[in-house]
Amino acid sequence: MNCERVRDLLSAYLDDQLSAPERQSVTTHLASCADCRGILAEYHHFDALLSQLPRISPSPTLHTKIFTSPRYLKLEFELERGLQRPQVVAEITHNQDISFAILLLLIGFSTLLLLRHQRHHKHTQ
Amino acid sequence: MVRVETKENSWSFEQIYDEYKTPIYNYVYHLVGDREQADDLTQDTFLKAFRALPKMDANLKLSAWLYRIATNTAYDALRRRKLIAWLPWQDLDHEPADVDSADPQEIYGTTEIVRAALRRMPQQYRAALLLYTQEGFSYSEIAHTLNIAESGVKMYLSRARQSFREQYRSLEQGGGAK
Repeated sequence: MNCERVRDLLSAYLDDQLSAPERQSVTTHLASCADCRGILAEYHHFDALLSQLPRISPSPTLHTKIFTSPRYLKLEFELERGLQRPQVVAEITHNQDISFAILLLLIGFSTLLLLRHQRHHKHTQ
Repeated sequence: MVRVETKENSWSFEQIYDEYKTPIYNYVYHLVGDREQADDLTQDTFLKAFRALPKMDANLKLSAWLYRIATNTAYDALRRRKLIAWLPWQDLDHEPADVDSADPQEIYGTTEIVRAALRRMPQQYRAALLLYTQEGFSYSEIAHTLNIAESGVKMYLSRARQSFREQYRSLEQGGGAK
């Protein structure tokens, strides 16, 4: 195995994810290649650095932001009412929107008819 | 109080938040590199999870599932940020570092170099490396979280380590912003 091939396998070698023959080939190569051994040692070191990276906590206000957000309160409302009511509310709102549009159309149409009727009446006079 | 059942436990939303707030926030922070944005994305992650959780199967592996939502939420934000970076008024040299809110002692220390190297890596490799080293996920859990085949995890981690090494060494030798 050459260095290029070994370097592609070093990560899996470190995690013990290679087949037995692959592992054996990499081990043999490492015994005679200081450069590849160096990279493996670096990977090991970087894994340790990453695992020791201090954990960062969210701001203390995040809890309040989540549990008083309109999205959360809406969800809680829906769940407490068995997921049904918000959908019904949405349907009613939707139906009301349609009714309002029909009403506007009727008013518009009636006004148009009335204007035409008035104009026709003026002409006949 | 709303409770949900998984195979492992019976949870209230508050318990889920208390258990996972720091690991999820920490993970999201390292994916996006900005504390304020990490706060918003963590909030979004939990709210998405709370909404979907009552409909999920009881066999759900809560931890991997939460990280999956967090990953997708962070990726969406990074995609938006990339789009915004194309706009003419955006400062292209801006690095999404968190220098203002970081501990000043850490700015030039190893911890900050590690964080900076992470920020410079391709996002999918960064996620895999964080899940493996910080969260202690197995290859199978990483595959599930990132929605890739288990064989792909081997490749992701290999490229992640190569990329991290490259970035870390460049920063250590005084390499400035990319």
